[in-house]
Amino acid sequence: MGAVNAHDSLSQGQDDGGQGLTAVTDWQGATAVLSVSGEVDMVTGPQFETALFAALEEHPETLIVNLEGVEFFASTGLSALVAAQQRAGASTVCVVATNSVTARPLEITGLDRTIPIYESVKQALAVQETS
Amino acid sequence: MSDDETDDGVAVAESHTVVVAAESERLPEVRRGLSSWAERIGMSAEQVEALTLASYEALSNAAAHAYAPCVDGTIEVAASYQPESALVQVTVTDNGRWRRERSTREGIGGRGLMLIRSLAEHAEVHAGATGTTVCMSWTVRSAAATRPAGSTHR
Repeated sequence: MGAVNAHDSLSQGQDDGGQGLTAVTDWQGATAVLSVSGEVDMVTGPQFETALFAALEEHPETLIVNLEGVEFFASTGLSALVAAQQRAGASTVCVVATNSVTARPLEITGLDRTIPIYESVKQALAVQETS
Repeated sequence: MSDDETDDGVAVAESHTVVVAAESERLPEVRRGLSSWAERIGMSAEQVEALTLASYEALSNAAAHAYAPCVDGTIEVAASYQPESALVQVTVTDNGRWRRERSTREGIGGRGLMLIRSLAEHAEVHAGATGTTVCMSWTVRSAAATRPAGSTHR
């Protein structure tokens, strides 16, 4: 409640029918919550990566990548997450993946074994607080 | 599903073919077209999702690796559905070679192929001198029996 909420937005929107990608970063203390919505594919993958890297440059203790609003998630998105984790340094990167569109590719490629996956931002935040 | 219903005519195979420029910007519309087609023939939501992502990964590989940057290549996507066998096949063909140099960063092309192999019930990649073909297939589960007889699909 009392946490400072900076609001930052890296969005790319041709607003024609849910295409493209929107990425918004909210800060809750030292935790950055990057909420992504839209489609992560070959075209928007680089924007997703840019948003991840921009959030990491602020050196959050934890970066929660919230994929709840993602409707399509291709391997470029997986590669961006891997790249983010590789450059995370002291930051912890975790992902919120609630629907099969995002959860399935993460499982198939085994990324769920190297990046913690949570079912909600609330759950991810709770884990950070207790650790 | 053991017998075909022949009283209102022989079950007709349905197909969906698209030839598209090998450019990443063109692929979302192809993906959406395939997705609607898969829904229309009665695939379950889970299967539609699998078909859409696997096909998109095959398209991405072709767009990213098949052609040299200055070559205007095309990709053909052919999807077909055989009601008797409930078999859905998607074939993605390009006329270039998948160039390995582009994917030296570990796993970039690799993750796409991993998704294709896992999401399709059966997947084969034929890479030859004249191009690469990815063949994927699924057996339609659910909804086939309830498909509207008077489908407006042409």
